Amino acid sequence: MSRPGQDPRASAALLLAGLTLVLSYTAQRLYAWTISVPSPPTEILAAAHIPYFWRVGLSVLHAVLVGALAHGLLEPSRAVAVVDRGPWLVLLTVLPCAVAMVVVP
Amino acid sequence: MSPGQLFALVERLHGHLAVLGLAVLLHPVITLRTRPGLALWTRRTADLGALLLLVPFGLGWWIYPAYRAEPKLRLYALGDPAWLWFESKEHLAAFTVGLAVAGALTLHVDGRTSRGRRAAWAMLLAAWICGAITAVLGVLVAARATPAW
Repeated sequence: MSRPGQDPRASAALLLAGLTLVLSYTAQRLYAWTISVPSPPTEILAAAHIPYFWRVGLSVLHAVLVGALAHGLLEPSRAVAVVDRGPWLVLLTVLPCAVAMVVVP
Repeated sequence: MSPGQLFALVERLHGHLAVLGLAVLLHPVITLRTRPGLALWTRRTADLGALLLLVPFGLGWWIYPAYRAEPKLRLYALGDPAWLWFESKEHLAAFTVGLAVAGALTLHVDGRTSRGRRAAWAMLLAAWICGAITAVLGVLVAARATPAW
């Protein structure tokens, strides 16, 4: 039983949820970019805000799902291992995704 | 108040709150590395920073359709690359808020352990860096979209 402020499963779940949000958003944007064709300005306006809202919403949903699964399924020892690698996981996930989102606006 | 003035008001609130959130978030980013243990104010500033970034994200969400209809369309029609900078700003803003919230919550659930604090620090630092780039892009886009004259 974990004590308050010492819950490795919860912190692993939050870490994985945060990284899933970043990965999911990036994957969705890159997919949209690969299948996109140039649009006239009026079409950009008409469809304007929907893709972004969808991307964020789906990313949050994916993050919550992964977090919940991680919290429910990860054994404490595995969770500790995940959290211990937290800084590296964040670096290796967020950096390439952020670069991708600047290169592919 | 005209729609344009309302947009400008909310846009400025959005930008100012976001920069304030970044400034507040810098506190836990620094103290999690320089102080042993988890101080109460480190946790509070992480929470406050995440909240101060969440609110302007919501404000940005609210004015997003108006931005798309007016400033962005004009930038796109003029061939100004600033509209592309805004796209990157959107993406990084989502990363910033997600990582800031996750990092702040991690301090609550596992902040008593060094591993939890390290993981939270990594997420908060990543959020801060993404947020700083977002802020720079936002200022540049705002300057191009609404020049003084």
